[in-house]
Amino acid sequence: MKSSELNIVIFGRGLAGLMTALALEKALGESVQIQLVDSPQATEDEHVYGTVTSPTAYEFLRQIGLDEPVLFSRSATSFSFGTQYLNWPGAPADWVQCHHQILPALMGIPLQHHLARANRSIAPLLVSDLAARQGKFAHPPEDASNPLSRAEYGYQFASQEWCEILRSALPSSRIQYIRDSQVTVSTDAHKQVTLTLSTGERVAGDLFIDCSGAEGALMTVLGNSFRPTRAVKIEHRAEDVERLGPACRRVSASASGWTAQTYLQNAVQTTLVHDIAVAESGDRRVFGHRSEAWVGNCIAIGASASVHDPLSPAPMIMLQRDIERLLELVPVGRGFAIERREFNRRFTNDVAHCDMFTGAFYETRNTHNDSFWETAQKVYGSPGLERKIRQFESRGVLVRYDLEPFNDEDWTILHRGIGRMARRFDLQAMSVDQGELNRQLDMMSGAVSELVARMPPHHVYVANMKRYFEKQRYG
Amino acid sequence: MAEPMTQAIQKIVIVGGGSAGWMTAAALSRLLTPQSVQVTLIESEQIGTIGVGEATIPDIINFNAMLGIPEQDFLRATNGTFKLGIEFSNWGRIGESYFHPFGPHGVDMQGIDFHQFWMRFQQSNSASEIEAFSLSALAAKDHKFAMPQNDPRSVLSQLRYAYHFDATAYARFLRSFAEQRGVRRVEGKVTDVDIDSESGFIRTVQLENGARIDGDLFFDCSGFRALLLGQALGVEFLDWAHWLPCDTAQTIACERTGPLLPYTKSTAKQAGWQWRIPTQHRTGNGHIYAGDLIDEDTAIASLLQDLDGTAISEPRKIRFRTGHRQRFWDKNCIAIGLSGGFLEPLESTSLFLIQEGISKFISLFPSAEMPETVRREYNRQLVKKFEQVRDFIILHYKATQRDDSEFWNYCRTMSIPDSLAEKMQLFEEAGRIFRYEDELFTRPSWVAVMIGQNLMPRTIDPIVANVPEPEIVRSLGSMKTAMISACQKMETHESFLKKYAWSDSPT
Repeated sequence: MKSSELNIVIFGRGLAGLMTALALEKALGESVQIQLVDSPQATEDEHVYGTVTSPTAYEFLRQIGLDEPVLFSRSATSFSFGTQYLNWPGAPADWVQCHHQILPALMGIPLQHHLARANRSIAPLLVSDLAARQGKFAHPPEDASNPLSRAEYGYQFASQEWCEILRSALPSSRIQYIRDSQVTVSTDAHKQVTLTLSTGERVAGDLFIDCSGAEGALMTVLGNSFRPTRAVKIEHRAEDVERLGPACRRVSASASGWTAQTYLQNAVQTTLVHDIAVAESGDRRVFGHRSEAWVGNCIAIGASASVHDPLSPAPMIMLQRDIERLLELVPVGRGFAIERREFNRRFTNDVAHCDMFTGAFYETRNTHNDSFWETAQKVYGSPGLERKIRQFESRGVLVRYDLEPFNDEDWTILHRGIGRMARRFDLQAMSVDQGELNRQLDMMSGAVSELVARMPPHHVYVANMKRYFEKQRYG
Repeated sequence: MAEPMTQAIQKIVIVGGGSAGWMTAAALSRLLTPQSVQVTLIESEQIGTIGVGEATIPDIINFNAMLGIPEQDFLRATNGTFKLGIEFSNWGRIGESYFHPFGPHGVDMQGIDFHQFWMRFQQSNSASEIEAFSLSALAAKDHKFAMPQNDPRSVLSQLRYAYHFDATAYARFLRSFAEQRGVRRVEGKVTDVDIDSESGFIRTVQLENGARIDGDLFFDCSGFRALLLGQALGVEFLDWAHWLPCDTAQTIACERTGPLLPYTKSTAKQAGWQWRIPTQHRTGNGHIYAGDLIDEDTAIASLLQDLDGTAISEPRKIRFRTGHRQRFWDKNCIAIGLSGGFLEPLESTSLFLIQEGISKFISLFPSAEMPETVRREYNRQLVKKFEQVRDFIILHYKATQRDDSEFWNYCRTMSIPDSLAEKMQLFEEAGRIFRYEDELFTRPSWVAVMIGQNLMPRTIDPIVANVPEPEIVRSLGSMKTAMISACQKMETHESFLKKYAWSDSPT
């Protein structure tokens, strides 16, 4: 039982290629040889992963060397308690799709049943919701008696900056970097990819990782077609600002699409996503995915495998999941068949689950009669999503699938935010006295608002934190 | 405004007592008031129940908690004992045994499964057994017991337990619980079922004495006969005998001898296996086998030969069919227990599957029109559970090296469901295990059985291969020391139970 040395070639040095290289290197050390091939054919669109992450990014980034002292001092990264959606079609009001730990259960019955019974909103109970609205931030403490301990956070970021940090972090002794202006990709009947440099030299490898962005240079040569979901126009603008905005991205909808504002330390990044037929400016982006992410000796990671709507943190979640899936299934034999099957099974599930979550935003009742919204509703509709919505609306049941990237809390907050109410609630909720229930809920929301009042504004917190990091470093 | 789900259904009828019937009745009585819904249970003292010494998995604790039953009352009333897992003997090979513990092996490190570290450790310490890192297994072997601690820093937080108890006494206990809360019990045999010709719904059931009982919703808890769902509604049975060839059981109780074991024993035999379930005053035994491979006399002789003490009853024969009804819920009828499906009790899942049938129903509590969407969701969830348990049970038969009988030759070489084949391949290659949809048996369970039956991975995970060996040796060493010392401090199972919840009357 000894794993033999594996030679891995990563094609592309955008965010996907760099993260994959560092993650493999940290996890596998000497037992793997990594070559990173950079070429003009392997250039990722720097915006393809959006501008926000989910809370799972913290641990993942830390493991590849992007801890908070690095992130905040060397880039304009800021915190994100979630995204606030404004003027969303069908939604009764604005809501914050905030990150939150498991919601408490009273008497073993999920909170949403009690809320349905008491006809109360969930938002006042969520510390990350209120803090996001008020522009406050502080790190969630360990102490479980503090309501803030139940908040979770991700980041608002600019991909280009993260790439620069990661590039400087690549250990040159361990990762061989090859740059070539014209790499030839070829494949044989057994779906084995070969890379040939302009010098005619072949890049030897057991396993090739396609990180060449939405173009998917290796996947395309392998004949692994891209299945489009829909196309939109995307445009990016950045405006320098003096003061950091809230720890919360804002998305507002209009007839022909939506606009997101991401608040970075020195800038506000605006992303416009609009109907392809209506928008006059912007780049065309096609959302969708490859039919398989692992073909022959080649694995697609990130945008070369799937491109997601940046409405939710799905694009970053998928990139991270692609890499984690690879780490869990680093091949140990030469055949790859067992790993490939499991990898593709889980990839297909992950794509479907991300699409369901995206689809749930667009599956609204009073949608605009505009093609942007109509198309979205049509392309994301699936039996899995229908089941989730139907079960929630009929009786507050949260349908779960295997290893979903979005958890029960994300779904509860989204359903409620968009105005989906459970018509009936769990009978067991009746076992709690109504007066007692209201007292408990009042206590919870009271504790949340009291605490948020005492939290510092996001910009003050980040400034103090950076001073603290500096002192740690030099003091 | 949302409303509770009580409006429409007014009369619920449960056909059949036994564990399934009374568990259903007790759960409904806990949640519904007699003013809003009338629950009636029909049973006949002339019809026996299958109830034998019953072993369970930890989920039963949730069921009792949902009812609000104090553990000590329950243990006294049912002659209950604690169970930390199952010892399997002669399954992989004759002469070998392993322990399937509730609770984990060791502690996961750096986000990587413990068993990967153990496999690495085992490369240079070939005598090491993975169960040496399970507190449940260590305690079980020493016949010890302690209550798990909630504090994750305490090694006692790794303990999980279930119970062994007398199922007939449990049904009796739940009967009095349910009756106190307004469940009406009717003595009688159902002789006829009246079905609405238009909707196909069951309207009334008729008893031997001519009485008719009507209801909005019927629970079929009539056992293998499946009086309502099978006979009256004609829902087909999906047979899994080709994967699980055992179809007969001979059961018997014997005197308990020796120390009180905190675990179930399962011993593989020539054409099946035998269980030993210790309750407070006796031991339940059963020999499950393939009836076409050995005759009844041989099966009984084999059962009697392996008793620990003097038999205190006559052997009782039970014939069964493995599989489930294509739909557990059809029209206005839900089958709970054996009427819905059966899987041999190799992993003690019988009561769990009853419990799932009840709790999924409660979470989907319908209105009187029984919308199709609710039924479909219920059936989907229950079928999934049955299939997951099925796969895990088949693993015990498939992952064997035994070639000493026709039975084992068949099992070793039989084709298995794809879902299981893929799991086994992933594990055999590099010890990889992933959780599939809301699975009942989690990673430690799969690891225990696969490694216990010699399904050793060809290579270890490359990420663990990269961790320096001294680090692993040190971590595993300190885990082991902590567990051994915790185990030494525990009381014996018997003395713990004598103080905690001993029953003076063997029932």
